[in-house]
Amino acid sequence: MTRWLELKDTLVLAERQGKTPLEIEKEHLAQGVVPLHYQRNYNAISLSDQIKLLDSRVGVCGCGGLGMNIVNYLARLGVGHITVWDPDIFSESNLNRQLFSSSDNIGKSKVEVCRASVQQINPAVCLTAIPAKWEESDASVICQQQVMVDALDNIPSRIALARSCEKFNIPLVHGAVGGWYGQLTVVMPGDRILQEIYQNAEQQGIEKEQGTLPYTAAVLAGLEAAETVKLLLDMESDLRSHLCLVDLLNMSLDMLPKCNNNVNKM
Amino acid sequence: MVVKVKLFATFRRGRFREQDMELPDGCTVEWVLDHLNIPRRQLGIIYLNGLAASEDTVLHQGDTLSIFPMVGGG
Repeated sequence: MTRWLELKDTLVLAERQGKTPLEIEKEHLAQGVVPLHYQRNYNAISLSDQIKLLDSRVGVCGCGGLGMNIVNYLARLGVGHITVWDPDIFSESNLNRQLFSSSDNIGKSKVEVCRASVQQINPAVCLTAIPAKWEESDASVICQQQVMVDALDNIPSRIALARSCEKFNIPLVHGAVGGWYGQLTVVMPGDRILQEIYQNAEQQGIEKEQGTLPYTAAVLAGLEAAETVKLLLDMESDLRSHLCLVDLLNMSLDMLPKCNNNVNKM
Repeated sequence: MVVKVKLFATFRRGRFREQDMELPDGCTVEWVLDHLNIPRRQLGIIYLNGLAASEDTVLHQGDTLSIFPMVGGG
């Protein structure tokens, strides 16, 4: 019979033993005791995989409509170490879709609000909030990540991120949205799909004309989070060899094969 | 010649989702883009029979041409 560990007990044990909540949760999981707030992860996520997630490091570039939802999903799942980059502060136009935005926090740093929210959601998660563009970070911060997640809002940064991930041999989960539409793929080192999609960085995406709808951001963010977890847990994914196009208006999901010479297996 | 043309996302609006188009022999992808009034500033990736193509790619009987707008928002 499975034994459970309540969050309040995790926090008391951490305080008493001078350890982090993350360390307490890992110790208990290793003995078959499951933190209660992961109860509904189980058995879709096995106990050994839950420990693996707690030990994982993910970098999320961009903390807007996509990024906040992605961080939310990863934190609730129990991904132990999350770094999130975004130099922006909340503005009123963010309220239609950005998860942690509210009329009270307009003008506040997005990543700082995100960090405080994650602390409330899952105190075991170590979230590093960097209120700057990811490009300004030291390469060593990027190199620490097992998976990078593209939740950016502009094409030049997306291309630069793809190049950086290739250079440091880090898998990249790409997602982009505009209006009712989105696209998603997993970019393994050697795969140049983003350079192929965004051949002219000066072109505009449809989001300039269509805006971004809240459910489109949430759906694509959920898909990006799922692909991130599959990479962390060494699970297979068709998105390593396909580009997925999501159309919520016509309710279609198309899987487009990438060119074979662009695809490397992990 | 007949080429199957698939449009995605905003390119479907006022046009179609998928259509077998009767095209002049030897015409290029550019001809189709012009014929359908596809705005170039929104043009993303073009696939011909599942492989990346460009505007000057020549089309052949039985080809499947897929045209996608650029999506870059977050």
